[in-house]
Amino acid sequence: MTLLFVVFVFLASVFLGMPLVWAILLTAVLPIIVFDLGFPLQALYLNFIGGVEPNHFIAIPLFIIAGELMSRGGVGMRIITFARAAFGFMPGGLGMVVVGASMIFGGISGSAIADSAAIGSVMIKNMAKQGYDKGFSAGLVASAGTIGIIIPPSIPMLIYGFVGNVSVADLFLAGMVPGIIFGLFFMGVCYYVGKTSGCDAGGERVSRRELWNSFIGTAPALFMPVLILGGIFSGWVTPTEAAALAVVYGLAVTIFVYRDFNIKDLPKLLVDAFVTSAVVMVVIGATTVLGWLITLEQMPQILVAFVQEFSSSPWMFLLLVNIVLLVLGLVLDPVPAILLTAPLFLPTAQAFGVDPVHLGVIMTCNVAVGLFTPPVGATLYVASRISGVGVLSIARKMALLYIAAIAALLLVTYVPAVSMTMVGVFN
Amino acid sequence: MDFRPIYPVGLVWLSKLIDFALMAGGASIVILVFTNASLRGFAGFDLAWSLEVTAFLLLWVTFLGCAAAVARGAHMRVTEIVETLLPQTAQLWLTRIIDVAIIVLLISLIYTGYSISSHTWAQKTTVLYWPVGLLYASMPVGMALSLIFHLYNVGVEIFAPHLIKDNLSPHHNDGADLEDLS
Repeated sequence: MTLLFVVFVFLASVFLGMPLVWAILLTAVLPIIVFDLGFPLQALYLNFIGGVEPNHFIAIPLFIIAGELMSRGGVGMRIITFARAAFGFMPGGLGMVVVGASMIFGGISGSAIADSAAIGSVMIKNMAKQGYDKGFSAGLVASAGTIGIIIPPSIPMLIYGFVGNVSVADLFLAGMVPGIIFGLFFMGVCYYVGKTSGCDAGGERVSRRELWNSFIGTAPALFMPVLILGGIFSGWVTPTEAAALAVVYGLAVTIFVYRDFNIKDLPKLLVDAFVTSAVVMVVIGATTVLGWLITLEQMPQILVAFVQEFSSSPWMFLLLVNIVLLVLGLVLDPVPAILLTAPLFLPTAQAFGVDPVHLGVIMTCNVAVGLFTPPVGATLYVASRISGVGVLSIARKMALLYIAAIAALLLVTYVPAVSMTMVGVFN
Repeated sequence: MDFRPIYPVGLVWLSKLIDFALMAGGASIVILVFTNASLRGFAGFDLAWSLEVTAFLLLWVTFLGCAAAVARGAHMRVTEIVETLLPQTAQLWLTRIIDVAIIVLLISLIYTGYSISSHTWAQKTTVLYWPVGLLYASMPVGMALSLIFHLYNVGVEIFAPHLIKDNLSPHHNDGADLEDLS
């Protein structure tokens, strides 16, 4: 009864438009009053503060600042130039440039929106000139941009790791191959479209010298993920310290090497990053309160029993995770979707013997797909704004991209080795 | 919707003061974490007090940032369903009900947060001997500031909606954007 009430209050308050932080707190407080559960408000709100307190959460605003710094100015353009030299000669080459550049940019910014905006603002126009359908070009930018949250560093993975007490280093390792798989599948679609539509049948290979020069132009930016991931994987720094290093490195590169960033803009960048992070952090705090109630009322056990009524196989549970997150992804952004479902899915996954790192990758890939599905798809909105094509018109041109994304998602979900091999190799 | 352009002078200054605290607190966090990592990596020791200071700063910038997000109308919410399915009048009533629920919730957070902070004031942190209640005070203070901004925002929506129409565009928001995270 309590579980049903919690689900009802939560869904009603969220979908009726209450800001998420207050909706979650209301969902935690109301059952205590209605069912007289006997928990004092002090204990509840102490969890709210305690949920925000852990020091490692500092990594969230710091990664936002680092990503913002590297998303500015000419970094995106330099990456596109390099991707063009590397992929531009193949059939569907221009589309592949979008995917390749998004994968590289994802390793630097960790943000799908920044990815789509930086790549889309240059590439949608160029693809249209080449003869690509504008809706497809925008759809490709929207879908390829989401690789940014699968390839490390990834802010949703960081949040999942902190909330679920799962190793961030392992999650980042596990995200690499799935990110590349999503990229390869999208490239396959570009190859097919380029070849069958005849608009981009391929061209001349660039010289090695040209390829090298374009690489040198991107090298300072490319060193950022090397610094972050190398530092974390070698054990030299914690994820939080890696984020601080990334901020200082990002400042040095954008001010002294690329000269894209004016130091006068730093105060505003800091304020914006910390307001954005506060919005997420208070939701994390509120989720901690709800998670506390969920645990006390043994809701994960109820969910396990419910799923086991149909099957005791972990695949059934993973199918449920896929379906729930794909549906939630239609209306929620990645971070709230992960924050809301992780406290329920994590203990259930452990009961089914699913590795929490694997679950984290599955959830991230799922919410990444949600980013380019209407009606609420953040990268879809960005691509729509840049291209001037309506969201639904873009979605109609994305059938092949959706098929590729679902195929990649199924591969990541049902073949654990795709995510876990890298973790095994490095550990 | 960013409400700051229609705030009276007092609230504008309050909002700027919070922004300044966020900027100073944020810069201090970056410097502290970077310095600590560098010292540990290159000099073989770290600053024992830095963890306590960063935990203190993180709590305060988070709850102050929560108030700044209320002023900017930047808290995460799903608006598409109501905007698509409900008529204008029903939407208006629903907004009022949600506003009242938020006010009640904020008052309960301030009252209980004050009680938590005062009860833990005598406890001291391990390294710096700062009152633990000072850390916990961040929540009621942040919620009180959120309440001030929320009450003004609701007041304008009810009694002076023309101010919103004249001064604000729904897309005007140079504050926090959740897009940074996705």
